[in-house]
Amino acid sequence: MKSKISFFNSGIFKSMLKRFWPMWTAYFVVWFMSLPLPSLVSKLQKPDDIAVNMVISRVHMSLDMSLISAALMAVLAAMAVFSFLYNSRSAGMIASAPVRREAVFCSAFLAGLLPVVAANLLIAVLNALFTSSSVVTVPYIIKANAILFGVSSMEYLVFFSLASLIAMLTANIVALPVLYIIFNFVFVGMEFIIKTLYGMFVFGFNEHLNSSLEFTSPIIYFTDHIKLTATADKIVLSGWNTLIVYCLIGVALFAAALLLYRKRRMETAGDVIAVKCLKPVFKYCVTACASLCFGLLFYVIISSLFSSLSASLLVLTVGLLIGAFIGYFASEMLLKKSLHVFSGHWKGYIIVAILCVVFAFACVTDLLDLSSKLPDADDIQSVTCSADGFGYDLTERSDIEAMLKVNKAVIAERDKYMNIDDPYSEDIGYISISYYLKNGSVVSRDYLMYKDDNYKAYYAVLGSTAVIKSHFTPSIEVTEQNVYEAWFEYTTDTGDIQTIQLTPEQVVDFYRNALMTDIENGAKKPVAPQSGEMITDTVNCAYVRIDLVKAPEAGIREETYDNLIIEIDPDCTECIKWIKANLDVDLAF
Amino acid sequence: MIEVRNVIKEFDGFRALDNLSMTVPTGSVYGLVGPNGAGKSTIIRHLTGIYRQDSGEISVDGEPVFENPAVKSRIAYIPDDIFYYSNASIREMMDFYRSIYPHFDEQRFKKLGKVFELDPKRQMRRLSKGMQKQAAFWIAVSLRPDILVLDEPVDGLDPVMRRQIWSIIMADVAENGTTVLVSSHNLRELEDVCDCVGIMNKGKIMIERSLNELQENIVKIQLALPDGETLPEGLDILHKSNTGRLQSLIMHGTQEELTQKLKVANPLFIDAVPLTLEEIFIYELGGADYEVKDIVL
Repeated sequence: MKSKISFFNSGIFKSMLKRFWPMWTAYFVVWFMSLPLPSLVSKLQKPDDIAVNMVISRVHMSLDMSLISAALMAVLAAMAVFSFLYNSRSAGMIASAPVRREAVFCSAFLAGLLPVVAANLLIAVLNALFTSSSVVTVPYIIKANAILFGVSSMEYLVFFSLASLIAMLTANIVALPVLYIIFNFVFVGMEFIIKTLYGMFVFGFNEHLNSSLEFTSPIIYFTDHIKLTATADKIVLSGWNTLIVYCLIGVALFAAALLLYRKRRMETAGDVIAVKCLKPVFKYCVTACASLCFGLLFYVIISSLFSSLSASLLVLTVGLLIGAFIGYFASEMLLKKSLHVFSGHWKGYIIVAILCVVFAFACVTDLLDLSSKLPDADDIQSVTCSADGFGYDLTERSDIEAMLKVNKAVIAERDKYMNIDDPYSEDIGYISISYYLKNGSVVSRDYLMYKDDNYKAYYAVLGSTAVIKSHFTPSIEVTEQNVYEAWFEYTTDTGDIQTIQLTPEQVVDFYRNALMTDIENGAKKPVAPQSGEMITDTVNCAYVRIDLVKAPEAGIREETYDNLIIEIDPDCTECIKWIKANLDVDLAF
Repeated sequence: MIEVRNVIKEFDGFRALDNLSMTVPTGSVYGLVGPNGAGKSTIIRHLTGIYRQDSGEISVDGEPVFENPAVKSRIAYIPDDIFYYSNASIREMMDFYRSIYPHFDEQRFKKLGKVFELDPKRQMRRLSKGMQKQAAFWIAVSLRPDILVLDEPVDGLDPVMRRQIWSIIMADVAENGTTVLVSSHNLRELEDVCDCVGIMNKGKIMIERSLNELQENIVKIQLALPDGETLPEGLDILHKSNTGRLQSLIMHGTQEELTQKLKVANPLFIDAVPLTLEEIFIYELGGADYEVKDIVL
């Protein structure tokens, strides 16, 4: 009769806790020195004067630190508690022990998880104790430290589950951290490379900074989606849902790792990939990644020697083929643990080579016609365009549709624009359009083009009143309290540069009564440089600069800043009048 | 009883165990012998639950071994290459085994401490290979196993310790009915302790018999035949050599049978000599194309 399944063995659990106690201790000590100890020192120096913003500042710092420490500690802990799998002798000892595999795995997993969670809890408790003062309320302190404990432990669970799964996929202790790093960034990285390659060939394509696979990298996703908002009265973390979802994924990864361990063949100790059916997956993934990385690098280095389409295709193909060769046979060497892999293993490489050629062809010729693909107006939340070195936001439906129309017109004449010889010529202009979609994704297009009707139409769309108003509306309201500093600078007839400081009252008056009036009257529209004219030719030497600062609410971490630079153009009639009336300066254009 | 039925195991296309079948009777001392690469360590790892076979069955008293803690708790295994946690002392390794083996006998551990004279606080990595083996043996016997699986158990031990260990094993067999499976190349030593022998080659058990039966059924006959006389037909000769008129024949069969058969040829001289286990090993495997080769360098 087979034994009942148990999921825990105290002997294995305790032995792992005892064997790796220096690691758990080091983790605790590093955190203790970073958080509770400074809090204790502050308390001892000023027992009743710990300000809320100090508490918040430390929690912010700790949240930033917890992401890195969780990611790092997870892989170290996995290397430790699963180290028995990577040596045939230790694997044999554990496998011959009268403990079922489920119990071995779960005991090892808990031995890697619980000490860190316990350390996190102890750190939070100690920090709460050392932070108590008459200034900051106890519930606030408890909540701040509970947030810290929750975030750090949940992040650790996610990373440790991932590291444990990877520990089951490999049987080589050096491969574990390498695969762990790769898993955390491979999808985002490959997406970046493919989009960069496409960006080099596809007309207008500029997507390499827009990632739709961010969610595959917990480090990147947590950085963007877990934020702390704190005031003197409340402290709130946004991102609990993200953490919960990822923890559930972590549980799934744990289950997958457990299943893999149950099926594991102990004779694989020392192999780079322990799961037989994944060996080809590993090989071809390494080949694909190496091909793309080397292909991009090779093309970037060599491409300046060639300009024709066929030459580009050839250079890219050669780069991809060389990269694929390196990746294919390097992975074969890792899998076979031998350098003698060149005979009899060419069939797979030939298949990969064919795919490389197809990919290069698809890239260079825009086989998928990506250059024509634009979002529908119904799907667009807003559009950001650049002109004169500034960004302009379009939020009105009419403006968005107008910009889409311009974009489509540019695409329709792509053949003309794709044959530009000298991108730095004075006859060439540059436009940039980013469509922010309602589903959160971004579609970006950049074009080098002649300063023709399409170019003027682009500037015309940016000249709508709504767009200009939005452009001159800073993130901080222009009020007397928010003005930090402001001045008016101009060039005199003799060529001297004069600067006049403005008072907050003058700033508000100028902004509301002069600038906004000019905008209503159609001034401040971006002007498309003419053919033969550079943007700098249209810059005036009279401008108003307003620096704004939003004073922090009690407890908010830091002040926020913004500024506004308003060039005084000839069509800014109200601004010119205001300057004359208030600063006694007669601007002659 | 340990039973192995038609076990097949392949490693990357290489068939290490090829429909292997063997039986280890309860309470016996079973010697598993074979040339290098025969698959001895591989089958031992299956018997101790480390490897899972591709097909076939491995059972102890009718119960499968793999992933069966109830069976594995009855088995103590000493590999040829001992594993210990780095920086672990003998006592710490003992503590580990005690925590996972339910039948660990601490009293026995203390008693055996007087035999082995090792300092339990000493780190395993600081012991010599022989002392590590002693420590492993000390712990293994303290587990009170029903089955003791030993892979090269006395390799690296001095003669006194070898005898000591064998005496402990045999005492355990006699008192507790412990079943012992031992794999070793030291056939002279095995001959003194084994009841049963399994000779393995190329992933299969070639011969599996009690030692007595084995020794009774293969004989070395030295004889001198008169001129004109030849050997009778029907002899199962494994090896033949001549020194002048004196022929040495290694043959399957009992001494009585073979002597009777050879008398037909009116030998001038005939003498039957029992073979040692080592000689049986050499000649049996010679018949299986694993013989000592004469090489001129």
